[in-house]
Amino acid sequence: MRTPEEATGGWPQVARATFVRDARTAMSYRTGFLLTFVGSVLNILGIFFLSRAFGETLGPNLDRYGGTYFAFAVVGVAISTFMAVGMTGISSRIREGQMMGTLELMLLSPNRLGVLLFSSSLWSHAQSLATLSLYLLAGAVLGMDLGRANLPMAGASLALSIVAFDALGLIAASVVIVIKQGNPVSLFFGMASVLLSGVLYPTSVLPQGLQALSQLLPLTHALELMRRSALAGEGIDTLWRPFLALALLTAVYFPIGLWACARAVRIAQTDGSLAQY
Amino acid sequence: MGRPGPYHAVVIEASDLTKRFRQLGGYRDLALYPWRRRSHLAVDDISLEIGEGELFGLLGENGAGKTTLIRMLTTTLVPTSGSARVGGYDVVRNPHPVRRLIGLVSGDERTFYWRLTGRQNLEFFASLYHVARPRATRRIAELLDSLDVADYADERFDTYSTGIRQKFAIARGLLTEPRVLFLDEPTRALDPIAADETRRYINDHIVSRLGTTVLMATHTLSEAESMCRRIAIIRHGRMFAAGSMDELRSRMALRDVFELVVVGRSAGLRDTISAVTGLEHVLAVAEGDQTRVQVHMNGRQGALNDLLRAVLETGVQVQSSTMRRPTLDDIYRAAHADT
Repeated sequence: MRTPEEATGGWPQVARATFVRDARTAMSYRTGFLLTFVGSVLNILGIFFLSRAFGETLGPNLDRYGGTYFAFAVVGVAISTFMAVGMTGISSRIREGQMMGTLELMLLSPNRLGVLLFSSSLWSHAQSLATLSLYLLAGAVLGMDLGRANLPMAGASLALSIVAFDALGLIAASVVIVIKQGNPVSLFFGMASVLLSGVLYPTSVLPQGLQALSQLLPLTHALELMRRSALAGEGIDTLWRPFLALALLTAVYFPIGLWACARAVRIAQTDGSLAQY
Repeated sequence: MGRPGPYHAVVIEASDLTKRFRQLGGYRDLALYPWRRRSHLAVDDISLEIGEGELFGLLGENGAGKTTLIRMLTTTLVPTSGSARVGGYDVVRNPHPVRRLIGLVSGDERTFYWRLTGRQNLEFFASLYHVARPRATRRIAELLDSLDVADYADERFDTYSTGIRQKFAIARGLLTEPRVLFLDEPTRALDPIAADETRRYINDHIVSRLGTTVLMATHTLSEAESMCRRIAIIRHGRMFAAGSMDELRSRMALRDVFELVVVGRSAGLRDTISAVTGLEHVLAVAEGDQTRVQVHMNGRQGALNDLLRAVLETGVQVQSSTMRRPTLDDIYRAAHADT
């Protein structure tokens, strides 16, 4: 019989084991793993040539972001990719669990739902951080100036952005638990964010109504924070407004996401669909 | 209600446990008949008690409700009504303490990470179930040895045969040394030799050596009869009968079975036997010049003498005869004939 002394390890052990599991699985698909990084580099090259062709026309709108369209777009695409991977990470693991029949066993373990969801997101975050670094490195090689970056502010902004994107990821995962196929929440937030958050153009070019709508999207504030801290070197004294906005959105979306996931699991446990796919 | 007997502490108890699944119609039904609520009754009012260290069998055909009952007892499915306790904890109100007490082995081959090795899978599940790392390493080595799969442990899971996968499923179920183990058709996809090995391991190691309480769902009659001290027969979600083999025989009012093989043709053999008082369910099947006779004795004194005399008077020769107690097969068939 297991004694309490032997049954230690808790959530850090679960988080580590889940991360190792996901890393091993991802590495086993070597070609796909490598192609992801090759795709990122090609994406950067596309942005580079796009900025050479059309970048100058956006000139005055980009002054507060360091002035060059290439840097503006690289950070936009890098952070939106970061959001997409973070946002779909949890729901992808949930979907895999449904397909492989492991979700029910995960939920049979003596862990809180939050621990399982948090652990499931770790590999996605590592993957998205690696992709982000690759984007920034490739951007720097192609002429992006990061010399003025306010690293503590950029780090804090990135950390808050991760939590915000996870909140959206939780909402997306809750829908996947119930409806199985597809990922409509990720699709909706992804499309809306690319359109309204200023990934490839500043939000100032949008009509007033859409600009107001864009304030509800975490990516809008994450991009504002990352560009102005990493490219223009601004700190919390000038960035407190988008930082506060992102924190408020996170404070709203995160509990909703946790509640929605718990509710979705309960629905699946009631209708017996945890192991269905 | 099936009771474990006076010498066992009750570890699993279910009281009027019921599960009704909502059935979703298509968009057409939703539009035309929005008030309609269709449902399927998977488990209907089941009550049972299973004692510490007992190997209890759930017997029923596919779709009888065995897996649904196990999923409710293992906290992954919320009952519609009724209650259940495992190790004294309510499965709905206190699922976490229940999960610390139990292990689950299903016959489903999915449930593993196929691109990881067997050992990596077990290491992951050990961490998930909070088994401390040094202990997990030792425990995995013990289980791999006792199940005779150590040689396969570092190969990828997708290269394993069904039998090896099932052994890894058993190893996973035992990682935490659970007090209660649920086995959901553990030999479903196995060949006869692998199935026998698995049964032997369950009996000799899990029940006899470790003293684990086991609830095993199966639709294999011989498996249930040879392994389980008590059996519950489930039909269409209801518990038809439960108890030891003697209790089931008594419940079904089944008497001993007399089997006779005679040589030589006798056209009126069956009618002659049927005329003997004290016999039931007379069956006579001719195979070449032999006739195989099976009758259920109803307990009347002298019935066997009368039967043999009547048979010999027809001019046939008795080649062999056996008296046996009704098997689970007889009980199961009688249960199906009853409903």
